Amino acid sequence: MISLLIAIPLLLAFISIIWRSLSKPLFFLASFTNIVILITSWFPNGVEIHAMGNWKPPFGINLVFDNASFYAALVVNAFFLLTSLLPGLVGNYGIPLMLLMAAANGFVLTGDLFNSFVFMEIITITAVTIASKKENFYNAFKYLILGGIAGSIYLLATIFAYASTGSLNMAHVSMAGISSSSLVAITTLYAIGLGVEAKLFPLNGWVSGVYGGNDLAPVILGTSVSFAALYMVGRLFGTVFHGNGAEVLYTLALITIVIGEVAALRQRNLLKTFAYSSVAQAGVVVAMLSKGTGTAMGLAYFHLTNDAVAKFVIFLVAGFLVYNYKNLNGVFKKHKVLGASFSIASFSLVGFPLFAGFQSKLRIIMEAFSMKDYLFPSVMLLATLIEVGYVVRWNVKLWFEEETQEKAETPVIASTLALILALVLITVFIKPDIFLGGAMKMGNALADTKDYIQGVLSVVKGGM
Amino acid sequence: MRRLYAILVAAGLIYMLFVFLGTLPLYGKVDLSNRVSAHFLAKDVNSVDVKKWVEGDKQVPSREKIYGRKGFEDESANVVTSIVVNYRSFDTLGEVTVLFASAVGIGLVLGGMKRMGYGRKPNFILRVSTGILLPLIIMFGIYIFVHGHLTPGGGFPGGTVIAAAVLLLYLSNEEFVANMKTSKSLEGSMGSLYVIFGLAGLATGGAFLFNFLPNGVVGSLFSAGVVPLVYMTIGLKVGSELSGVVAEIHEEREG
Repeated sequence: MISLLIAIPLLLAFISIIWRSLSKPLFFLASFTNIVILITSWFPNGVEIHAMGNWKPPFGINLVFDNASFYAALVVNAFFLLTSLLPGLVGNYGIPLMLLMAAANGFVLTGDLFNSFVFMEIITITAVTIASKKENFYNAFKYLILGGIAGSIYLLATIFAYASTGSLNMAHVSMAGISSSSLVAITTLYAIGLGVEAKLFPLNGWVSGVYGGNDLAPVILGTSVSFAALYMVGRLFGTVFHGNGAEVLYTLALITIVIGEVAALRQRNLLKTFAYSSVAQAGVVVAMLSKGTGTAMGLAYFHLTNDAVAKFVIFLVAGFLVYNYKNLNGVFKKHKVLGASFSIASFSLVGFPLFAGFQSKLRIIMEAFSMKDYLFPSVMLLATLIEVGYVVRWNVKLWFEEETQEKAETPVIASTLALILALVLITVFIKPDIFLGGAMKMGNALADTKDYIQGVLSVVKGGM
Repeated sequence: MRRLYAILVAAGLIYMLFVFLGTLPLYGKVDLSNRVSAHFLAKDVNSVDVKKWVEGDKQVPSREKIYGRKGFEDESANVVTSIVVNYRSFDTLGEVTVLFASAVGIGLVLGGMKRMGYGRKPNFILRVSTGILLPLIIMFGIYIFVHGHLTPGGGFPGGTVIAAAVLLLYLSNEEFVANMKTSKSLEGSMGSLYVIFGLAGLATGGAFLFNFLPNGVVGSLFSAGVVPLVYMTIGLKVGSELSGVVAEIHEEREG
């Protein structure tokens, strides 16, 4: 069943190159079918595998379906479904979006290191194609070069892993004894390879240009693709390498948070501000993932889910505003629904009480204190202060300053979607279990290497 | 200053890679029996006891397995093909998609209306020899992908050779324009056919990309089950895709 999550979008993408006009309805069909498939197999609570071509692991390629990959696939596909409801946004990009969906699903589900590299390649190429929308060629090219280098380094890491274990299967690599010197090499190379998509510090120079260049790229790359990339960080560093190399990630993540927030505060472009803010949030998530325990990882993904929902609303609204108004002063006086959802989402981003972000930030800080880590909470509180600065500034500018322009037509579907998601953010504050339950299951599944190995290879070895 | 930073970063990266090289096992000193590929080469994956294998009990394939003549679990004579299109076929589907995604991207970025000229008449020798070489090149390309499971080669090189024939047509004739509609439909239908082969395996054997056809005898044209069919679809797909890319690069926007 789960191989269909990849096969259906791929098949429909190939079909829609013949009939181009069908690409938008087929994109909707693909994401809708995927969501239906996922709902019928709600939280497997165990490890199921699908061995491609009936070649048993570790020899063949296998897809792994456990609580972690289920929750990640659910979030990824949900954002694709939401995007497919906005035909104006999709435009000519139905085929790249379908391919991106297939690749993101494959990236999340695969249990094979080389296979994950192949899907990362597809993600990079389709993401670059999407980034070049609205003739944003210069930034797309920058992204292409960074993504290409990251892809080669990811491949190099896979080669090193194969050289020292003789296998590409994640479960087998995680149980094979790797010498500590090769472990350093492998984890460092994987950190660099994933760092570009996970927006870690020295490798995130592309983010502002790509997210700030058109309306489609931030909506899909900032939500689904970020989630898939950060899932892989958890899977590799949590499950496969048992927290080795986490110190490097932790340090980079703290630098990422500070640099991202400061850059967001200095930025005068609406899309770019929130692009930098999503860099900073990725830093928070990676810092939490590097702690390696099930609870910490679960909270990281809880925070990431809240952030992705908020970012979807923010980028949707911001993309509409930037491409319909020359001067953004006071535009929300004309678009009250869009304005309300934008404000709710941005307040959730900061973590004001009454919004979902409060629940995740509070829990993360408490968890960090309970682990006797005082540096990360203080960095995070500083980051929150900076966030208050730019979020309030933008809200004041968009709501209260003198308006000058004619009203553009209100996008009905977009404002409905934005409003619904904003209400979801409030509901999550009241009942955090909606996201927290799944995220916790995901974190625990990622931290439980033993279960993973047993599920994939049906063997357990003593210790880790 | 910027250049200095760039040099420093590059030097750091190169130093790091050199240090990491030291962790790799030396050439010729690798124990191949603990690698999965040993069993790919012997084609005895199904007979390995995974439980013991992963715990360190290396099961070296027997001489009969390695030098045997029949009764393999995969009957392609070219062992690379059996890994690429059978054991790890899902990766190949991914690579086909990588190429497809790039071709779609090129179409979206470069697409134009008018054929771009080179501004001078093609050489007489080029024009005449194209007519002679073209059928040979196309036949060679088709030969490569049809015999992908028997001889070195396969869908990707075969398709590229066919696309080279289209490039030759463009070089030798200023007026020539490839029919994009045909190439797109061929590309799309061949790509879907690969996925449909996978789904047929799911329906008959319970696993995506399962080899559902009889294996035949190693060395004959009709052997190795679904492998030659897959390589033919890949060959046609890559050929039409790269021809489309060649055509798109030769287009220019009006004005």
